[in-house]
Amino acid sequence: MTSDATMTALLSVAGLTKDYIVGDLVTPVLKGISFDIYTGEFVAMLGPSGSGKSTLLSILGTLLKPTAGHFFMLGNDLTKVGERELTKFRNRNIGFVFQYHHLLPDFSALENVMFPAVASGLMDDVEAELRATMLLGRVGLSHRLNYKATKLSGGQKQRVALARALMNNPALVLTDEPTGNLDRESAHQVMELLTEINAESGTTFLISTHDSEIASRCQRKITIIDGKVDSIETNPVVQHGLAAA
Amino acid sequence: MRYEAKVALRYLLSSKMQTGLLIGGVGVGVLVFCFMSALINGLTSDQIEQTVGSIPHVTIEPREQTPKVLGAADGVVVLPAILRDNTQRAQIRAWQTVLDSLHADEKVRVAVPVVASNGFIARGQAIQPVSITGVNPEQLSEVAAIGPAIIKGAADLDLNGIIIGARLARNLSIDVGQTLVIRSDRGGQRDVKVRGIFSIGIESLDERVAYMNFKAAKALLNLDNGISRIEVKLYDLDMAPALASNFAASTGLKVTSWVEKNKRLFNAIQGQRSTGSLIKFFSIVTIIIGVSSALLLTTVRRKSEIGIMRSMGMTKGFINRVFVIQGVLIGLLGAMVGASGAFGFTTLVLELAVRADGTLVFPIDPSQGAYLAGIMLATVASTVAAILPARAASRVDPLEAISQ
Ligand SMILES: Nc1ncnc2c1ncn2[C@@H]1O[C@H](COP(=O)(O)OP(=O)(O)O)[C@@H](O)[C@H]1O
Ligand SMILES: [Mg+2]
Repeated sequence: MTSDATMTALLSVAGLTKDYIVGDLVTPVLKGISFDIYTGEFVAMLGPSGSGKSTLLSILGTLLKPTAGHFFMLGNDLTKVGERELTKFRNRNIGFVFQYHHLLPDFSALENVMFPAVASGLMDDVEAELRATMLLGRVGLSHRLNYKATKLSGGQKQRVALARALMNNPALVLTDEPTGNLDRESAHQVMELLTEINAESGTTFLISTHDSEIASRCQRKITIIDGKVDSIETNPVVQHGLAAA
Repeated sequence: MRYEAKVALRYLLSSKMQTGLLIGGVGVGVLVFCFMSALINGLTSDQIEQTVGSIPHVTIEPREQTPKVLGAADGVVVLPAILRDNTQRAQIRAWQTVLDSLHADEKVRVAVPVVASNGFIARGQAIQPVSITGVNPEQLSEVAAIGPAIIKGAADLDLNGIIIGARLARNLSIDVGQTLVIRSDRGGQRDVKVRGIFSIGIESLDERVAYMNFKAAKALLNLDNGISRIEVKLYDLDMAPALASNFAASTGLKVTSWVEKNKRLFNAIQGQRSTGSLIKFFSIVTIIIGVSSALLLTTVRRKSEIGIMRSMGMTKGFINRVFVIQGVLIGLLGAMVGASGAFGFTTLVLELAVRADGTLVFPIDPSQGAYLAGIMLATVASTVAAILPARAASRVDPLEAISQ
């Protein structure tokens, strides 16, 4: 399906650059990145530490402004959208899973998952609770709904974070080394979940990782080296997402 | 708004120690505020009551008469000399009309027509100067509380009765039931019987004033058609200067408020009030500084959570409101704790700080604690105090928080 020329990309990145400016020093980190991602894809972003993966994900997640270039999502040039609009866009269309879970410690697992929907007024309490309960069930945490976030193990926290990222049914989930902070067992669980959810619901994932196991499960691998796209490989064996459904 | 409130409440409950201290801090500020109000207002009321309690708030008198000089030719300077005793007594003639318009004014509690003049009381060889004051018997206690101050006899002003102060009675060695002669400054005289003796505690009253029946005094002083003055009490004595100048303008009479006659007291009260306001002002400033610095620390501590909320698509406004609401809640709770504390404390002081003779050590008045003002000011202050931290919180860069 990625080769289908008639299909418009969900995310289209065109000539993105990013310079970090520290004092008088200008450090170019991204040096012209271009690629497309299509709805339902499961894409890995590989590359050595310091190559600019996190920076790129932050820009695509609308948390950071690029220095030059454009990226389009759902037909919008997000480099041209104002702060308020971007915030709303982020809430509706983008889910994040970071290396550290970043759950709200004073809220329960269920409340954390409900948060993006109820706090923005997207869903009412009943609807949100139903969906959050379903999602927590999906990540295997039905028995931990009312646990305070601080009372959960590392793997459990990351699974809550995944459920939270899926709460508003986003078009794109950006995950930055989601297993980087977990033991092998928990990492494996989270990885399984990511691939399964992609296969079941067709949610599009862009996952930055060092982990060769994750990479081998992806349909495509984008390798970034020194701020440039080094290679884009398609993995012919892997079938996920809408194509597999 | 609802969800912002939920997050704010959760934050406050999650650090109970800090929240408790903050509420306590605001409470102490409001306690100081309300305590000072109760003390200063109580003190002021007490001072005013002691002075103004026995004098009119507004006094209406005839204008001083200056005879017109007729037919003075140009260039001729005429120096009129007034022989007071030969002119007619100064009096208000259309006093019923003035009285009616006073009664029609809703600020006026009571207006008492008075006939008055200097005179003497003679008993045997002893002669004492007195200020003869004629009032209607039922209005005797309206201006100065003579009735309750009677220590001997009764507050009874029949046509032949007189009520005198305790000092005067002592100076004349006179007692209730005895007869004496009262003389006006123009020679009229009348036999009267002492019906009562009062002690107000104000020397000039207890030594100089003799109360007579209004009609009897009118006859004695030859005031058939007029009266000497009208003494007015208001519901709100702060209204006295305004009412006095209004009445002076509309009647052309000489109208004086208690403020003009008691400048020093008035200035002292103003000074007291300013001191009180200053202390109250600083108690509010303390609240602002305390709440502001504590919330600022909270924003630092919550930085990564703020970042994650922003990354989940919560607006700056959302974050802002989370912190402002914390300020509102702290202010409201602290203020209520402080106000109830102040009421309890002032009531306790009122009960405990009593001298052996029953008078108060502090003339504190728990009912004048300005509780509503304290609660509102503290809540507003605490809300204002939250604005700066809330702005700081809303400006947290989500990325900075997440990459930590
Ligand atoms: N806020 C920043 N200011 C300056 N330099 C930064 C900042 N963030 C990242 N960098 C630099 O940009 C480069 C890319 O970092 P990053 O995007 O985190 O790479 P990766 O995620 O691939 O390890 C690194 O050299 C890093 O030091
Ligand atoms: Mg990184």
